[in-house]
Amino acid sequence: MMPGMPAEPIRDLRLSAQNVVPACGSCQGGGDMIFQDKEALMRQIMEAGFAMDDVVLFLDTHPENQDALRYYQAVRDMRNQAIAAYESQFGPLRYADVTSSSWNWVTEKWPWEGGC
Amino acid sequence: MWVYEKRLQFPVNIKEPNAKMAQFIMSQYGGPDGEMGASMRYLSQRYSMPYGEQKAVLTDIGTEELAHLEIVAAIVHQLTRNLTAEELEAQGFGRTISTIPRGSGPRQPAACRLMPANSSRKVIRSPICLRTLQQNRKRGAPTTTSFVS
Repeated sequence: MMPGMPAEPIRDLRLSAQNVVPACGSCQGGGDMIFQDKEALMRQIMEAGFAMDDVVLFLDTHPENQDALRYYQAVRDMRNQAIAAYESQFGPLRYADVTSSSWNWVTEKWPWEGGC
Repeated sequence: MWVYEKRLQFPVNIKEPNAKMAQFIMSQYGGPDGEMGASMRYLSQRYSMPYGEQKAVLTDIGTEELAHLEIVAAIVHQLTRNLTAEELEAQGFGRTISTIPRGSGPRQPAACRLMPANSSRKVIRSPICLRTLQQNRKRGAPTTTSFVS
């Protein structure tokens, strides 16, 4: 057991990370459920993605650590589920995931433009 | 090879543009301690690493630095977004913006240009800046002009 590695994967990442990723101001208070869902899903992707980036680096130098491997599997599954849910409603995050009959890779907002 | 994900690793939502601040942030893009140099260094160092753990960690950190590069670029873009040429000039961004078409953010030569002539050798060796340097040599330009802002 390595220091700093939780014995069990954190079941709800939002409990641990809700103060880490700031909410998007432009989507708050509008009362629009669609945009709230979009923001919440992107937030889940960012949180699970951040946890995965972190545990991957840990595993690179501790490839035999079983606790870290279980944590990786848990956050990877969370990330995959959040990405699938986001993409099914709001368009592809990766060009390999385009399923629409039109090329919607080019129509959604780009990351540097802000918003959600 | 790499695959793009259409999201920032960390969100950037800047409401008030500030070109003066953008000039400080830009040093984290292509400057001597910037994300571009960090990424190129990690990815280049992989080839002399004998063990899988080292190759893996340099690959994954070098990749993550590219995500950081995109965050810095988004900050600079949003800090200078929708400013007029006069506003950019007044906020001291004139000399920088003159090398960046459309004023939307730094591109490769501008990032290299932001490095001072006395920046550390490891950065000058980064592939992108080396290419700019070589192109300038071919054109007969003094080698330092690419690195003096």
